[in-house]
Amino acid sequence: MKRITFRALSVFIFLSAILLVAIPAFAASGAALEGGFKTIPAIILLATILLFIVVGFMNKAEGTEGYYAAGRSISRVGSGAAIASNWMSAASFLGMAGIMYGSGYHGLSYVVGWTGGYCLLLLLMASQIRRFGKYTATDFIGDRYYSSGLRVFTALIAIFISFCYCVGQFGGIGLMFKWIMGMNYSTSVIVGGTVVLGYVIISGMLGVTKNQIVQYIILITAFLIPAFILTFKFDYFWLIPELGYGRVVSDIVAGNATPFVTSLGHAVQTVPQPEYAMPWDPATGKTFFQWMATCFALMIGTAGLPHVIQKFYVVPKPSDARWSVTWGLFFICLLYWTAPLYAAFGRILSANPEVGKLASDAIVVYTAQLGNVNPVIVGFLAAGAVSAAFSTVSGLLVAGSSAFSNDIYYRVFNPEASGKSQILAARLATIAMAIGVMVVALLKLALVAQLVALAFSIAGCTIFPLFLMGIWWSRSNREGAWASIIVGAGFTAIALVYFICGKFGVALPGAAFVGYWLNPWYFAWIAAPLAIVANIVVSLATPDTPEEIRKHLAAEVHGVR
Amino acid sequence: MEESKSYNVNFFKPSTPFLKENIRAIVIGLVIWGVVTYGFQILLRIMETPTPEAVYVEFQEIAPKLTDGSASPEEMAKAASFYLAMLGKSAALLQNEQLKVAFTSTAHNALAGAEQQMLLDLAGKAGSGEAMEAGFIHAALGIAENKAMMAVVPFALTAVTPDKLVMYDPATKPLMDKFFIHNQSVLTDSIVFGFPFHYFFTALVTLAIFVLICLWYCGVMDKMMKKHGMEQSFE
Repeated sequence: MKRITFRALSVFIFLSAILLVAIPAFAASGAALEGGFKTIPAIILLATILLFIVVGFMNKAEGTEGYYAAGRSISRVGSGAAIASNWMSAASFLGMAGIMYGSGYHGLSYVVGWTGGYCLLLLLMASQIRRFGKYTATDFIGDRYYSSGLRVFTALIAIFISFCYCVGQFGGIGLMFKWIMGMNYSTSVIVGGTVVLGYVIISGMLGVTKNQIVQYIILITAFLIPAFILTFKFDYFWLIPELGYGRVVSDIVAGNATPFVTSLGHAVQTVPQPEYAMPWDPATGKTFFQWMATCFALMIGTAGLPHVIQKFYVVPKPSDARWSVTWGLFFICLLYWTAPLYAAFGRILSANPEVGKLASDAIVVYTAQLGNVNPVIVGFLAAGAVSAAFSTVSGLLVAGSSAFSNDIYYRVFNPEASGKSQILAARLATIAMAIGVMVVALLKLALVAQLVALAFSIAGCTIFPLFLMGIWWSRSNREGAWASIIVGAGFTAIALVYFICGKFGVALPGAAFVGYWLNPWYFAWIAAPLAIVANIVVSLATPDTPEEIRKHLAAEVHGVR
Repeated sequence: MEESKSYNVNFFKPSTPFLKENIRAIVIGLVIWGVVTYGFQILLRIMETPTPEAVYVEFQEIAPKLTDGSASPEEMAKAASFYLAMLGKSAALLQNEQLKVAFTSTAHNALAGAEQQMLLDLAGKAGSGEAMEAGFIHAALGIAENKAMMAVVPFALTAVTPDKLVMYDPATKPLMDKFFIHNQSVLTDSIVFGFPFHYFFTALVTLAIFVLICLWYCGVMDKMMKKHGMEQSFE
């Protein structure tokens, strides 16, 4: 109980501090969208990061024991919030609205894909994974398929997935630092990346257990408040902004006039743009197939992401694993129901050509500015975006580096390694990974949501098939698993090589074909089914899974007695 | 041999009553999930017809007259406001020189007398950042009430000499088809809470159903676990 009071208190103090800062700033209005150092957002950002460290440190001091002692319902809701805050990254916070701002209805495939995956996870995997009783995704695969080679290979893929995921996050961090500090993108990525790395190392040294519930509350508050303000200001139904923005969509489609003006003095009106809402509109350059493939790839990717799956090992009971998915999904939906609102408002508020071209990935913040939302609230929103990226990046860097030190360094290179040298290896891996991510993020290869989608496609066609078949078909054996992961990794390699060559102007044969059907954002739509087929064919042609493993699977996971 | 067979797990051949029930619940959940996500999009796809915007239909009737020079000033004004609506759709289109020439030309011909020269003078200043007094153009095109359209005018004009006026360039037709023909059906044209129905369903209802599927499955599973005495070791 004490802990809950402390959490509530710290959030309360934090929010009231923001309001205090807000009072003198009420007179100010956001005239210019860009440029200059923004003091208030910078302070809020700093305060938010400090809050996370302090709250995490206090929790650490009290110990992790009794974390679930406050009762079953709290633990389920709490771990649901933890799932949600772990999940919500720059891609959810900034990227989704960005992709909808640019591609309209096509962007909804990201909204649906990144939520519907949780149904797959729950129905097919969550409690089974918990009952199997391992600690990480690589452990599960190594044990279920009785192969340490496979464990190492999966660890490599998991690290690569974390890497791609981080690149998208660093892009988001760069954009927000650019906005707050008024620097150019490259400098911002370097500064932002260094701050993240410092944050990860400091929290690692202090032994900070992140308090993800506080984090969730801050993130969702930062995201929802401007939505209420925007719908209220422009006289849409503001009590439930998620329903209220419906008329914005219709106003964009029909080009309806409104009596309002933006912070730049432009009318809140656009020429009729049915292409914004109509499905797979030719004007967006996206097709029906791309909608379906993206949605499917993101869904199976969700169910195959190591850092998402790992969440189920830490809950006490299988039924908690199920309920925490449900709560987690609900908490995630609160943000996902709202993200399209920013895209729609962004579209109508930036319709005047004088606004010029805005960076899609920062549209959430620009929208709040154009809607004349108080700068403090906008700053809070930007700080929320940065901390969403921070928490995800630090989680991914830690997961990636521990996969390196446990699964690769310890098992392959130095089985006699002491605990100390393992920790050193993990630290070095963190730094190396962060620098690598920074370098790739500087290349600005694609939108944040797209870069993150790449990580999902990789997870969807390598790790997801192994879990699905591993849980539901005891005949699937080591050889089949190798075939499956090789197919998945092969498709990943093809999609990536074509994408990178395309980016650097190298023409490969069939580039147009691969670019459309095996696009890096959604190649898993076909790669995953083929990986499963490979698994079945090769498994049937080779000896059955050892009885010991089948027995564990049948008895422990599926209750066969 | 008999002993080891009983340890086989196969999603499609559940061996125990618990697995049978569990898999039935999973299949029900998956079917709802699939129908809601993909079924609805497929339905949209089946029902849609490519529908041109009304202004585009009107423009296509005028287009031949623009080429043979028989268009009246009113028709010129209609064509000009069509071009304006097109240019206003995206920042990329505003870079399209052919469309800007077509707008400037039709707007020029919609005007009369001295105003034609005023327009060309204004167009000559396009891109210089100077403030434009374009009220006479708004009036001639009948867009004086439409703030969104008026905002596009300064960006849509381009410097043209009277002998280089082109009212309609057939090369721009594919671009027009791309931007003015939309996949519409009764699902996209009905309005719910202000949303086009399909948008409402995909952006809001789908997610709500996902949450409901999860709630339902958790409830069913908790009961099933009790009934079959599973997961007791965790209690």
